[in-house]
Amino acid sequence: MRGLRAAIEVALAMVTLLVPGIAAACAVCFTGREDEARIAFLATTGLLSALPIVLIGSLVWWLRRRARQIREERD
Amino acid sequence: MTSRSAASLRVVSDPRPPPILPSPVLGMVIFVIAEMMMFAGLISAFAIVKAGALGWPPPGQPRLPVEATAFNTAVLIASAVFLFVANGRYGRDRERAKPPLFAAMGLGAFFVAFQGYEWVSLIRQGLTLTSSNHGSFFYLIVGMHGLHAICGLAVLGRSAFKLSRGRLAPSSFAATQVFWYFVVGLWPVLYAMVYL
Repeated sequence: MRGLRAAIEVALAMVTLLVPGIAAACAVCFTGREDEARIAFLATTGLLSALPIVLIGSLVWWLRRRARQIREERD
Repeated sequence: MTSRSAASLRVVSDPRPPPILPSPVLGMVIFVIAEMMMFAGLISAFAIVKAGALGWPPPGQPRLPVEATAFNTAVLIASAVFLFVANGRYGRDRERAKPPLFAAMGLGAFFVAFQGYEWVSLIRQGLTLTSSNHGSFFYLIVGMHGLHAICGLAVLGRSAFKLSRGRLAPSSFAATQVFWYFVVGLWPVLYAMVYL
């Protein structure tokens, strides 16, 4: 009896794990133009991920370069 | 004068090195970075919605005035050129920096006024904030840029006022330029994304 209950629990867990795969949920699939939407989603994710690093990195790089120039001019 | 009072008058030289970047400019650069992130977020949302739409602009919505706005874009870029000229003259003769600075302001004001005129005609044609996603994004993105352009004009006006009074500090003028170049540099990107 305990073995049967454990088997049912494992089966339920398996079914629960498989359900999201069947749903194939996609945040940007809503008009039938999934490919274009997916490309736009990936491109904008890349833009939003890279932009702050590039902007702040550029500022820090420029400030360091300028500080080095000032130090060299003083010495 | 006693030696004690002479010592109290002695100017102590500042041991600190000069700043790498003046504080107004650094503050403005950080502010511009934050604003760029905000516009990147708006552009990203717009790109995803546009890519997923079956037709753009949506059926029944007016087309945007591409040619007229291209002319207005040229006007805005010309204002940045005049500001650049003003900066060059400011370093040599501050009095000669006034005409190009006022020209930059005038062209910027023309850009904002022309945008307003465009908005009125688009609203009359049925493109409103609630008419479609197209209208929502158009007024949000272009309106946000227009708001920045108005703030930029106010900052340019402040600089022009201070310059005419002979009180414009180089760091303050540099910060003004950073903001206006941001407003001008951003617009062609928004134009390409929203209008084309």
